[in-house]
Amino acid sequence: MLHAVAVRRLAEFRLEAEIEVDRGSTLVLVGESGAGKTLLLRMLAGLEHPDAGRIELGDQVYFDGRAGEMVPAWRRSIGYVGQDYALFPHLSAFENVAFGLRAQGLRGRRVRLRVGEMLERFGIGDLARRRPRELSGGQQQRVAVARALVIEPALLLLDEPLSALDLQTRRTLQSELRRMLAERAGASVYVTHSPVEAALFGDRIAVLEGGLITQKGSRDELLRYPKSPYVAEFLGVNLYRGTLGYRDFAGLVEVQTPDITLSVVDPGGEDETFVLVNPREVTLFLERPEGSAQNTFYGPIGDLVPEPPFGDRVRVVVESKPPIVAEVTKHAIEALGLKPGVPVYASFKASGVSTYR
Amino acid sequence: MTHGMQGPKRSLGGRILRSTAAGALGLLLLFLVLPLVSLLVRVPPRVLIARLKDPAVIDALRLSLVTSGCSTAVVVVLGLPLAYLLATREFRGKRLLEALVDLPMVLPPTVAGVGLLMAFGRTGLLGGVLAALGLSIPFTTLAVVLAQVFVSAPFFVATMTAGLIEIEPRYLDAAATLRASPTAVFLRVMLPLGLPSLVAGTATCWARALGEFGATITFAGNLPGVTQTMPLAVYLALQTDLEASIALSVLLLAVSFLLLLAFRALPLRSVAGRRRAARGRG
Repeated sequence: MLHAVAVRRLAEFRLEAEIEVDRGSTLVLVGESGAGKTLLLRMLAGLEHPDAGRIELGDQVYFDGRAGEMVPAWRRSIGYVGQDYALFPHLSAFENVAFGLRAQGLRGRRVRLRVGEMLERFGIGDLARRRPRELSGGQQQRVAVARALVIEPALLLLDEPLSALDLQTRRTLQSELRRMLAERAGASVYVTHSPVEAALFGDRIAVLEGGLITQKGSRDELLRYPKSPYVAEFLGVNLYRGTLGYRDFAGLVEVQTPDITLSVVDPGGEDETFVLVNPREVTLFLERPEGSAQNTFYGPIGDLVPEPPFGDRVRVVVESKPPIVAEVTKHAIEALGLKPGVPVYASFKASGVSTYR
Repeated sequence: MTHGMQGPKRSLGGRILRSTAAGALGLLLLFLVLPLVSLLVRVPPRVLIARLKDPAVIDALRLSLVTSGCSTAVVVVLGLPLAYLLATREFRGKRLLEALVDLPMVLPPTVAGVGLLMAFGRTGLLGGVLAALGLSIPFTTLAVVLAQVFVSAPFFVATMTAGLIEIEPRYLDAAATLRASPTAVFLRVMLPLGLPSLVAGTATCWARALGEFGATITFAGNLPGVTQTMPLAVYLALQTDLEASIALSVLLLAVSFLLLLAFRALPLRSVAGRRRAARGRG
């Protein structure tokens, strides 16, 4: 339904992204700050002018770089929720939501009905007369989403809509937003840098790095086959890339990475391969472990992070070359006396990995 | 030097600074208020009231209020689009345009009057055209309005432009994504958020027009009932009748003060917020 190719030259890098979103589905756009997510979203909205490319929504052409055509934001069938909501400070919650309907010339009963219905749907019917400054962050967020949805946009654009909220409110709103997005008939694009939100909201996920889409696919594809260090870090897994080398007779193959040679179950084929190591498959030792078919890293412990927060497992970052993350129990941490700076061996089995190209 | 000595020393410096500031403030207030008080105490109220019933005074007051009202209305109607342009668009020659708009602020009003005469006078640039149309502007009430527009417009445009620039772009973006055309964005977002500036700009513009003297007397002359506004009447009376001059001054003072107070009393709160220096690109 949405098909967009947008190019924009910037001082630091060049943004060039192609995305597609089907009717009734949500694309999550993830990437670090400064990767160009917001800029891409603003180009879809018509708030920024691409240098080149083409943006189509259904049978409407919103931007055509070759023909030099650009439909301004206010003539596009979009809804936009920015990071800071930008509720009009001089209007009540009701009038904020009514703004888009009034801008289209609707008046009176029809406006009252549709706005009232939308406010009820977000559970803020009793706040209709309040000004934005009299609303909490979560309430403002609901008004902003209601305001964007009441005009029934074909394309809904959400730019980190939950990032300004405290944890408690975020959790509540996550499930509300999820339900809302699932019910939508139109297409949605959701920008976030939170892995949790990416997994919650995305039918499909696209990864933006340095202005380029480095990977896109379904949530499962990304979880199973991450293809860039950023995605791996985003998902909290270890990812290495190297050249396939010597094959032994036990079905193992050597993978030559820039810093280390790994021994993994032979995926077949030639050339390069990704090696994905789940942190749970990584074991930590104070002495060099014995045994064949083991891949061993050595280095001091950098950081210890409980997983989940306040959970009973701990993610241990080992600053070997290359670094590796292990996820072990709290019990193991205490038994081995692990703390930052302690040198450890991190090891995983040749069979404890997945390889893919 | 020990730390123990720095404390008292700093506070001594602070005391000196504070007392200097207080002294300066007192001096300035005294300087501003003294002439006003002197006006009020010079003539007994009974005489003042009697003077105010003079038809010449009433004529001058009416003329002042009507012309300054008209010129303010003209400035607001013509100045709003200009302020919008200056606040929202970037174009070649913008700096030049801004300097031109500000120019009447620093120009001596008599120079403005001569300029207007050279433009609209009988021998002026547009004089021939106007004469062909059977129009003669100098020394008419219209000339008074033109002179006031010329000198007061920059005050409105500068205040209004600054106010519109202050409006955070995110509100304008939000309105655009809600189907609001540029006109609707201006009317429904920029104007309400810029309302405090609109009021402040209108008030300063009006005050400047009401007090206009130099350009008016040069371009419009000093005809009682036609071009003789309050400031002109004050000056003229000073030559012949000090008491009348004082009465007119007090009246002008009262009217100005009341109108400024009325503007201040409007229930306005600035909601535009600060414009953020940088917007994350995410």
